[in-house]
Amino acid sequence: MSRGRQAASSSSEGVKIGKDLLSQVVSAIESRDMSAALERLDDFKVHAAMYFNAIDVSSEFRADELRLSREAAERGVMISAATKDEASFERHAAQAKAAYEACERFPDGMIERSANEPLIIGLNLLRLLVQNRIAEFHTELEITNAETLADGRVQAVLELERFLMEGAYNKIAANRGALPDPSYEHFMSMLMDTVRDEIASCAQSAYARLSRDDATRLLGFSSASEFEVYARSREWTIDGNGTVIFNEEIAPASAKDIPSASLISQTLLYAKELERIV
Amino acid sequence: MDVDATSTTPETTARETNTPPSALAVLARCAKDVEKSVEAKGEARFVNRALRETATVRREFTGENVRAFVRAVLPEESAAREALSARCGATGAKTTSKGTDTSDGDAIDASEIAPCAFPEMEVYAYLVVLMYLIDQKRGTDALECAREAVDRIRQFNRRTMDVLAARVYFYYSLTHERFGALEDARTTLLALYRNAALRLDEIGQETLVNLLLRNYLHYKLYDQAEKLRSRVTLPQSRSIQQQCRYAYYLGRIRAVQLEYSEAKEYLTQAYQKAPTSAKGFRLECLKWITIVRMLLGEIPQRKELTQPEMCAALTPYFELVQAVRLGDLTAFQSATETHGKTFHEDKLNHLITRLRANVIRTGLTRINTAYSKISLADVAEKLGLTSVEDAESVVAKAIRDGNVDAVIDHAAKVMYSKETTDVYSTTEPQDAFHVRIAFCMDTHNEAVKAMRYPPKDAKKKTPDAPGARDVENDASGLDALMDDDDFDFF
Repeated sequence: MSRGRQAASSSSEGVKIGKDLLSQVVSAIESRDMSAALERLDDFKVHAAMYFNAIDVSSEFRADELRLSREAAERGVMISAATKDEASFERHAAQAKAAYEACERFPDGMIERSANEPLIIGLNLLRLLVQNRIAEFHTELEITNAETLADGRVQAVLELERFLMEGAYNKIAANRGALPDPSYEHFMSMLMDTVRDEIASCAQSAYARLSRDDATRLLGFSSASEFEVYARSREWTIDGNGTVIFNEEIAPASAKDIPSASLISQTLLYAKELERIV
Repeated sequence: MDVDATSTTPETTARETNTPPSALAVLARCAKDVEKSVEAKGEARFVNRALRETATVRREFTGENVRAFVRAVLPEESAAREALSARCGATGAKTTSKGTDTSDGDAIDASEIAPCAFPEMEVYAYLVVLMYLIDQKRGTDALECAREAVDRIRQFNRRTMDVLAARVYFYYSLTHERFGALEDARTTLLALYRNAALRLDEIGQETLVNLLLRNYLHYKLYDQAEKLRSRVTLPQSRSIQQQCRYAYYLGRIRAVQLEYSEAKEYLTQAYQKAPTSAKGFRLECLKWITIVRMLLGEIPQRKELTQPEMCAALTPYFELVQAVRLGDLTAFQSATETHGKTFHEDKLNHLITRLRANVIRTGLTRINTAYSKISLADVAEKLGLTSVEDAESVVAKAIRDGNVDAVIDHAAKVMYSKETTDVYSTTEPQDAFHVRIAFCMDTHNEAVKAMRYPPKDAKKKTPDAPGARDVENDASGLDALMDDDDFDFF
């Protein structure tokens, strides 16, 4: 038992092996071999769990260990972003967040902020935006510190959110070309799909008719044929002159418009409450 | 026993009719109330009265009278007696103005206070000293004292102590917030909550839940706060103060989670239930309500934001409301920039950035009602948007969301407004009526609920005449005095 505890205490050797393992992860990422990177990362995690000691905070190696764990979590986020694995992304992002917190709490502020922090936070925010988890997006935003928020990589995501809320969809498309980091690519393309659907539903209600070319451009399709496939999926009619016609006829007010169910329930509620009073 | 207590009270009051009762006399009376409450097996009325009265003389606390009180009320063998009186003594020497009085500090006549061996009295003494230290801004002393008090309370498991203990927890959290890191208090508070829940200490539970929520929200940990909130079960009978606080915190959580209508409901509840004397708390509520209402697309009324006593603090919000009401994006931006710091301090900056879309929407609605046909370039200019394309997609979204009733002609870049339909031909008036009726019903039900008698065991204790009179006194004073003291600290 005592031997086991001995093994778990921090040591310079443990840190060194950790560093080696992590550098293997980095080189695997650089050679774009993500599955190998993921394997190496798992090796590191096992090593960290065995030899890094979270209890002995006073150890002189603790700062190094924290730095390594933080970098490992960051790498994990990047790998998952590249492999488009959302579940593992979420996991790694949570780990990274915990690592940032641990570093921040470290006594005397000995650990500097990671240069990658804004990137990880930005990516995570973008993911929440894409998955339409807006409440979590905003909760996350509240706990992000001002310094990180001011970074361009986070600002870009905040801008996207604002455009989405306002409806400035054209700007989102324009921003796609100017991504602050290549790892945003995957989520951004997912976001574009959402945006296209949004534009389509807006167009449907805002325009009476739209020429095919305009519609193609508006929805960000590169060719008219692509657009036609899409138009068919949304059941839009395209007439002989190449004009898209959206539902034009306005249904006359009918008995169906009377919200009878809700009226009945309201009236019943009043009756019940009145009965209680009398 | 009761007869004794009542027979002395008229005497003391008679003696002090010409001069307002000294702090010490009030403290003595409070001590007696605490004692009575213990004898009545934890009757909360007496303790509550003691706490209220303590709050009224709180400003008159000096090192001398607090010290004299502690020395008189605690039995000599009590360990806390020396520790506490030492804490008050230190200032007596330090403060220059009172320096001359130090010598006769012990001479203050405290003979009418009889020592009392109940541990509750010790807790009460801790409370008094703690209040004194906080008011004197003696941070480290207050922190130590609060920790000692909590440690001491944890050694007991007495239901008669609950009300006092809950108050100590409150000051424990407050001292950490003012003089240290609120974060450090979290583990202790959680442990205390666990104990309170296991012991069915209702007042303790609700106080601690609120303190914990406050603790989380202080660090903007909305996620954790919500998790805690959704998992705790709150006791049936709850004090109004704690209900107010709870509603306020819950409203804030909901606002951040974009559940605006729920947020508005809770915040308004907190605002309306809070006593008028709790100015700080009401102000805080009002700020949040203002923003949340605007996010819902409502415009707060002018008179709400120009209440004389809060007017100055609300000016930034007033400007915001103006900007949103007019749909003026430049005014909105300048307001957020000039008052950015205030908004940041109020932790509302992120919510306010979300208002931008609302500003655009109201602007658009105004344009839509004013013009039957307008070019998109003009729309862009009026709304302060950068390009025609922007304006087009913004308008398209507003149409889709049903904010404006219009059609865009893409080729001509023009927006046509549709004829405004008669509101009275829609279900709109009915909905408005429904909201009002529901509100009235709710008020009625709440009123009925409030008029119910307390649970039957509370009634059993008051067959004797003096007790019954106390009940009357208490009921009349309760609303007026609803502990404005600790609401000040918001």
